[in-house]
Amino acid sequence: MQRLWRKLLVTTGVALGAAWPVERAAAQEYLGGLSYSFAMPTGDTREFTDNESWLGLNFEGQWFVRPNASAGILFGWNEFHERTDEAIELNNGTISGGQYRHLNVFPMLVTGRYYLNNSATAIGTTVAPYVGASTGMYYVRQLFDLGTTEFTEDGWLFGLSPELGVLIPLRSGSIGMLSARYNYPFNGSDFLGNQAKSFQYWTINLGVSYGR
Amino acid sequence: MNLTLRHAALAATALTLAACYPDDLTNAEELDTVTTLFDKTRDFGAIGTYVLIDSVMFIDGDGEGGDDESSISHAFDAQILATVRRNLNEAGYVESPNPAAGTQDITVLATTTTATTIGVAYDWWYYWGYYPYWPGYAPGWGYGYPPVSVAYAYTTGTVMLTMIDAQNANVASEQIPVLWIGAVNGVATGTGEVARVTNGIDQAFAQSPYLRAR
Repeated sequence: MQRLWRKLLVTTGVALGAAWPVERAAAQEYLGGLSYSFAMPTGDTREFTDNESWLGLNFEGQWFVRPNASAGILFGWNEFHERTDEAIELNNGTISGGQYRHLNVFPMLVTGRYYLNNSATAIGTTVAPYVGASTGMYYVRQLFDLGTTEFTEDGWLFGLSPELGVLIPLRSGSIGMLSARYNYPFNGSDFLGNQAKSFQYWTINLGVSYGR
Repeated sequence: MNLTLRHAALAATALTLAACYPDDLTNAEELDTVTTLFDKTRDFGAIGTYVLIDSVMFIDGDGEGGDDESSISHAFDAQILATVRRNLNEAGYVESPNPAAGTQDITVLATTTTATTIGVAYDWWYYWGYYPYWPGYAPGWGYGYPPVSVAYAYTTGTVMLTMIDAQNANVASEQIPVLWIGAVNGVATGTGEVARVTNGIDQAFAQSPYLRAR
């Protein structure tokens, strides 16, 4: 039932974001965005859960500080999971059985974008590619189930995130948003196995922006 | 909502619903685990004969007040011991023809234990759904209904196989070297699924290839 609520919440949020009314602004002062986020694990994330993530969401807002540049904030969520029967080799033994591995990552970032060859007045009327960079904190919760035993650890990691994206005006007056972002939380905290981890991953984000 | 936005919303909905958790557990067997540990300094290839203790001993995992042996069924002891014997023979060990002589290289014994876990789980999603606004108070105050809680209890059982070197027991320290341990653990379903136990024993030997080093 909890999973159904999550799906309904995400679906409702994305649907509302897609339906948000928009005016074609002469010059954008603010862009709000809601996007679906598909994630691919790399590094420590892939080592723990070797599965792409189809469950993710981003809320973000951008305020134009210059005609070609904006700064803002981003709150996101990506979830990775894997069920496997792969045996765990110890120094002097082996453990086999059903494992459930789950990783929840919540980025909370300060973001900046530079719009290539476009200004705030053009966004919403022409295709606007941009490059961006973000920095901030990632909250990571790691869960490992083996048989009837559950192990969990969580921690806060400081990280960086470069981004490439494009804003596309839609016929409805909304602004479509497509971007690729690499999330790099720095090594830190004691996660499962008393090890410091980084939990890097790529995301491809597809959503809708609205501006004023 | 115009057609483009409707399409976008539908596409987003489809993508979101495609994001799914792995399959839920469908049976208790999915929670079974097999753990094996061994003494890395031992040459298992040098082992020739073995004695298999002819009964499965029960060890009370809950301590005082827990399960006692009278409540534990020994209906599957013969099958458990037969499976252990078959795996030892397939590993190349020879069962000693004269256990009373005490000249075997190793002694293998099987024990069982149970543990009962009791707890309460609550779902915070239901809690927020029932948080009302109490008339007469300022907005934000409300009567906090307790979350929906569910009590649960389950029993896990473990069959443990221990391989010891009784020939080199240290009488002074009262210690007997343990060469290998195999533990098969799972949730007890009460349906007498001995196959889960015998399959676990087979797995314990399968993931211990060093036992066949000869």
